[in-house]
Amino acid sequence: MESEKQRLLDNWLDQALKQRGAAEPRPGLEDRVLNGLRAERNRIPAPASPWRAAWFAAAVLIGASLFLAWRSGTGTHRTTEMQPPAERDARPSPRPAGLATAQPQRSPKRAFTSRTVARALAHAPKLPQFPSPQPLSEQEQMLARYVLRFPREAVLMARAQTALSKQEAVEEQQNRRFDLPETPDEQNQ
Amino acid sequence: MVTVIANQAMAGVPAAASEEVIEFAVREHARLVYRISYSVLRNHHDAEDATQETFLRVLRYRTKLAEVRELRTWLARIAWRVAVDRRKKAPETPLDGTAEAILTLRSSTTSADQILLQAEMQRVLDSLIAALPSNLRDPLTLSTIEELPPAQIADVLGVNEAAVRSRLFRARQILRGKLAVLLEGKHGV
Repeated sequence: MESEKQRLLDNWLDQALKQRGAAEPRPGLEDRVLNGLRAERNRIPAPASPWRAAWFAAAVLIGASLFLAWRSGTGTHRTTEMQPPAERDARPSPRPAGLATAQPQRSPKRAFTSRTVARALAHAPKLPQFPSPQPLSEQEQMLARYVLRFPREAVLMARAQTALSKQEAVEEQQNRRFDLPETPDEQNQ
Repeated sequence: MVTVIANQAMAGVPAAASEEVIEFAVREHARLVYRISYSVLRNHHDAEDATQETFLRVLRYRTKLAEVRELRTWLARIAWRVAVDRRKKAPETPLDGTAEAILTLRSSTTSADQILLQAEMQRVLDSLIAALPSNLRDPLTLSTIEELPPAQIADVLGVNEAAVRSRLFRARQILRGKLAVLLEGKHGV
């Protein structure tokens, strides 16, 4: 009895599931889909072929390289124009002579505007060390030579120099103490 | 045989000839695509829209048609994804079973009571299937489509055939158990 019920239920379930999946579209589904596809095909452009894409990429590359070449050419012109201010001032002015005498000539100091300094700094090579190492001056070179030749004397002199500078500093402090302004009582006396 | 012809037609086919292949696919597989869509969406209008969208996707990716090994399975997979996406986007639409019931009543000799009972049972079955976990519901939904054997269901869902078979068995077991409880409750009182 129980198995009979089970069998009936199974049969019903099979049929119900089959019926569930057996949905029929309205007649003419294929034609409607094809019409929709035709309309869409007219709307969207055909996909570009890989050759066309390659040609496009090549054209873009050539264009970019030509532009860069042109830019670098104009860049050299600009560098010739941008000369240091001293040279620019030394160049003969194209103005008429009368005008030049009428207006006071610029002093070379005024030529160093903040813009020119910034430009000069921008063009100067940036070194990894700060402050940048500078070549020794003439006096420094002489001192270095002396130290190399007479190291003992140099040490003695350096010590004596240090002691002297310390003594000078102490004396200066004492002098400052004595130079204090007078109190009002002292002024009254 | 049909698939073989389609694959031969697509072998090394560029965009121009792919249009013929798409037309062939529509004529041959539109009904299957529609049924897959309907099994998910349970609404004729939505199923037709999903069918249209499936073939529009095919049109968009027509350059890849040559790489397709099994046209039927490929279409089934696209149809499944489109329908599932649509189900996620749109809220659950009411089943249009009433209109169908009226049509059946007009065209068949079945009594109105029987038709209403069938419609009611279908509604109950739909709600029971909807309550299943998705890993059981999906293979069961696809298994209701007559044209889809378990091997193709496995391809569509991206699992192996054995998993599909065992999930189908479990899903049916659950449905049978719940239906038995419902029927006993109805007739037991």
